[in-house]
Amino acid sequence: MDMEQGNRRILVIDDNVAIHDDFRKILERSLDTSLLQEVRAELFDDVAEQKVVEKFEVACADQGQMGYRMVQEAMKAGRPYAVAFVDMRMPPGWDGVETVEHLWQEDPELQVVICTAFSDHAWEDVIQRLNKNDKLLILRKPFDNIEVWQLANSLTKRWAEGHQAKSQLDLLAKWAEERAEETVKAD
Amino acid sequence: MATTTGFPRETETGAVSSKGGESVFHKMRNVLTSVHVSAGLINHQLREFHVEDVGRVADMLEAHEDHVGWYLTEDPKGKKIPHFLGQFSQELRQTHINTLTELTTLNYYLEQLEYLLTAGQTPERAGGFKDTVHFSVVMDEAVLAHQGELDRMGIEVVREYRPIGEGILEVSKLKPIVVNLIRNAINAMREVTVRAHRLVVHVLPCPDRVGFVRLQVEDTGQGIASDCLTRVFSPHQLGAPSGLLPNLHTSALAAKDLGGSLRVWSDGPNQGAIFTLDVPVIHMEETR
Repeated sequence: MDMEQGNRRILVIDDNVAIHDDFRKILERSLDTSLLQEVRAELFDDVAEQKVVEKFEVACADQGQMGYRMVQEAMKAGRPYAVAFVDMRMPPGWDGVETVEHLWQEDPELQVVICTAFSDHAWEDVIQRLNKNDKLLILRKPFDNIEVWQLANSLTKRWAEGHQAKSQLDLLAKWAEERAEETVKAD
Repeated sequence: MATTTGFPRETETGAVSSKGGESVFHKMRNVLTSVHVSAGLINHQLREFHVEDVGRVADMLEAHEDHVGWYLTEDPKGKKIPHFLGQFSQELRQTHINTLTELTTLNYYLEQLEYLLTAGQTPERAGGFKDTVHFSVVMDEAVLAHQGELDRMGIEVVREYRPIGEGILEVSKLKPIVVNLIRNAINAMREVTVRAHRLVVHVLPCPDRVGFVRLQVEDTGQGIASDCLTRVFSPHQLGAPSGLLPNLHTSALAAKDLGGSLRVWSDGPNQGAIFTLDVPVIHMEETR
């Protein structure tokens, strides 16, 4: 499975369904212009063929609890999400922090972006509580499309790196264990 | 691990802050986000679209205008033009549809913003915020919410209700103010242990303002020095007597939101205090 390169699965958890559409518009948009691009390149000498932009696979939940269940199911199916965008305030259910805590219980590799519309919060508190700040980024609403796209793009890459590193570590650990066993047998 | 965060949650902050106003604000920010996204998409779509291609094709045709037929059928470049135009028109069509869809969405969001703005500024014009209020019931419920504590502290409760019936008001804003005043009174009385206490709650038509109702909460607690009276409602209550809740500031703001006022009087330290909340009221009959 080429999950190391290919996990473009994004989970959006926000109580506002309109925001789901926003994320889908930004991350799933891909007007298929490949045919036209081909013809353009043939017709005009100075046109370089456009690179294909890979789009994302976006799933949405409107409450923290639902998002948590989706992460559980994804883990069970061996198709984990790479990145979750989580809204800070989602009455009546879990808030963003509580949701992220649950998500990480289930999937510690998940990259998380907390989205918030409020500027007066002490982030130190949240980050301290989540205590894992290298996998947590913060996005202020209203956001720009390019911000979301870039976050999704670089975080899926970071997820892949982390995932690969972890696989190699696991492999290494297994190898070391085997060697240790062999040594014990040899003695 | 602590179970509370530094984040004000809707339910926790709801105590006195104008919850309606806050969520209107929250909604507006969300709609603004969608506006950003839509505008960004339109921008992107139009920029990605190579309008200049039409001109370039025209130039090519013009350069071969005396043998266009041959050019379009025989020339290696020219032969590709019809096919290109077909693809181009398809994309033009698609871009056109996408942009129109986005613009329609944008229009819808702007309408929503307009509605939210109206709702946020003048709640009485937007339906659903107001409800029928029985003022004595609101007062009773606020007292009842503290009944356990009142009993434990042996505080006598006196109700001075004058008939005023019901009115129409943003009840979600009114209730927390009254609850807060009762809690504040109990706190003030807790500070003074040498005498028996009495809580007097008044509901009456405002004697000096037509169309207003007056709700008063009177305690026999620690009182407030005259030079502190004005500071009771300040956000930080510097120098104010202890036991007063910071929420009094928010309560005063909420009262203002309702078009009314919240004031305090005390004869001095150890003399108790009386908080007076005046709110405007529309009676049922007047709305018909």
